[in-house]
Amino acid sequence: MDEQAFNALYAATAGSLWSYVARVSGSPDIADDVLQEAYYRFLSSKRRDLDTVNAKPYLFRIATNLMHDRWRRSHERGWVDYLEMGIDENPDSGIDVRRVMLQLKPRARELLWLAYVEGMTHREIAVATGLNTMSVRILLLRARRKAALLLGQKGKRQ
Amino acid sequence: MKCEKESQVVHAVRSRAWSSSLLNHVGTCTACAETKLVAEALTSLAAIQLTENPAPPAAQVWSRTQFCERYAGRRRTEQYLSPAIMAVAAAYVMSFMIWSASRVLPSFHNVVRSGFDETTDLVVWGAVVSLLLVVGSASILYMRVGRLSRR
Repeated sequence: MDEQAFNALYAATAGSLWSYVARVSGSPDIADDVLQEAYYRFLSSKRRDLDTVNAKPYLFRIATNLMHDRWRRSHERGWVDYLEMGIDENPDSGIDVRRVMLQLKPRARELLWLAYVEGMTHREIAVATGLNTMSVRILLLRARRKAALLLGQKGKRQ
Repeated sequence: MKCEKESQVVHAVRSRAWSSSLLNHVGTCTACAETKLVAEALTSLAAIQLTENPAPPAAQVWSRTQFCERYAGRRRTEQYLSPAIMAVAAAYVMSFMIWSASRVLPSFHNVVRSGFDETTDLVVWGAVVSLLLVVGSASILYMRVGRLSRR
């Protein structure tokens, strides 16, 4: 893959990939590192010549695995303690969505983000996370319930 | 609790295109109401984030990737080369030892038989110093290769 092709792929995928990692990890620094490593691994792999549509789930898969590696390494230090991005208000409802996200488990954050922000199907999420489709369905349902409960509580408090 | 219209709700939240029938459905379906609440919260968060913290520029990621690629290539080459270097060094040391033994042993024999003279003394010490030099060089080479392959 030459630089021009990389630029096209990057323009189509980097924004969403960075947002995904930043939101699931809660840290823009981690997002920068994981993004860099994910593209490096992608370019070093045999799948580097995939078109953008097929490359995107593969990049998400690499990024998810890299986050899990980091999570395992820093488990004792507390993965969910990253609050580097600060807290701000949802302009529409005044709900602090970031804080709600950080109350969810990383796996739940991954699934919710991929399903509702990226609009991926259960099958695509399964590819991106390495889970099977049935597990995605069950875990996503639980994650949605938990998130809705937290958002509902925050909404009532305000 | 699952509803078959959840994917339509997600699509409507992302595209902001709601049909009246879907809105009515969301009003009566708990699963779709939850989906709408969560999806709207997350998409609003994604919109904030993209404007606040953009991903690093493509040129930066590309150049770092190229650097890492070159570095990894160099490491791979070193990993292949180091056994070859070690084999050459070992062969050199072995052949030198054989050669020096063939030269030194007769001198030792002379030393034992007739005592030191100027010629035998020089040969023995020359062989010992050369051996030390070769073993020292091989050790330095071994440490250098080991350090490179550990990087």
